Amino acid sequence: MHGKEVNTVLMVVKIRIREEYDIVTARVSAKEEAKKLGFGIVDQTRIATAVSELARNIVDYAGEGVIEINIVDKKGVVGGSGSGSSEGRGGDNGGDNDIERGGCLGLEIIAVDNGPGIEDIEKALEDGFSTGGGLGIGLGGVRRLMDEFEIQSNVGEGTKVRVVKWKRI
Amino acid sequence: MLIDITAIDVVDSFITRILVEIAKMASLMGVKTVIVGLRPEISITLVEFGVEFNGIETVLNLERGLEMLRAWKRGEHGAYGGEDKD
Repeated sequence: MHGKEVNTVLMVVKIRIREEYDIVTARVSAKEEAKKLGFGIVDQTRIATAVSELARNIVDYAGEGVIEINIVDKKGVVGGSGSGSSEGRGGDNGGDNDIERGGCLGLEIIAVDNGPGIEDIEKALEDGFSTGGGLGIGLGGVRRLMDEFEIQSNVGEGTKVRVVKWKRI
Repeated sequence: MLIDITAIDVVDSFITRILVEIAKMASLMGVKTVIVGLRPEISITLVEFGVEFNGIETVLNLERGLEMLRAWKRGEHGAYGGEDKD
C-alpha cells in the first residue's frame, strides 16, 4: 500500500510506548515538533490529540509499541536543497483533500505495534465501536483530525497506523 | 461541582471519558457538573474529533462557571445539595 509519494526528510524522534507515561512523552514531543515546524496552535492540538489517541491504543490493546514522528515533504522540494528524488509524479493528488501540496512540509506520525491486530478495520473506524471499553471514537476521530490516514493490521501480528498533517501555505 | 481544565492542553477520548464519568458519579449524588477553561483550540479539536461532553455544562471561564453554580443554587431546589435561604 504505497499510495502516496512522501519523502522522509528527517526522522525526528522515535518513542517506545510501554506505559501510560509514554503517552505523555509522545504527545509532548509531537506538539513540540509541530510547533517547531510552524504549525498553528489548532493544528498543534490536532496533532497532539491524534498522537495521544494512537499511543493510548498501543498501551490499551497491544501493551507495547513505537511511535515515530517524522518531518516529511511532498515531492522532495524542501528548502531548495536538492534532495534527489524530485521525480515528476504529479498524478497522485491526495484523494479527498484539495489542498495543493507542491513541496510542502508535513508532520508524519507512524504508530506500530505487535499486538493482537484489528479484526474488522472498517468497524474499528466507525464512531461508537470499541472492544476495549473506550468511547469508540479514537481511530475515526484521528482520521478526521489529520490530512492523511492509513491503517494496516493483521490479526495476531500487529497494527500500523500512519497519519500526516500538512502545513497550510 | 466545577472542574477547571485551563491547564490541560490536549483533551483526548480518555480524558473525555474520565470527565464524563466523574460528572455521572456526581449526578448520582444530585450534583451538577460544569467544566470551565476549555481553550478555543481544544473545542475545535473536540468537535472535529467527535467527542461530546454528555450531561456536562461547559462555560468559558471560572467567573461564568461560578455564576452558573449560583444560578442553579437559586433556581433549582436541591440541585446543588443544600437548603438555600435565598
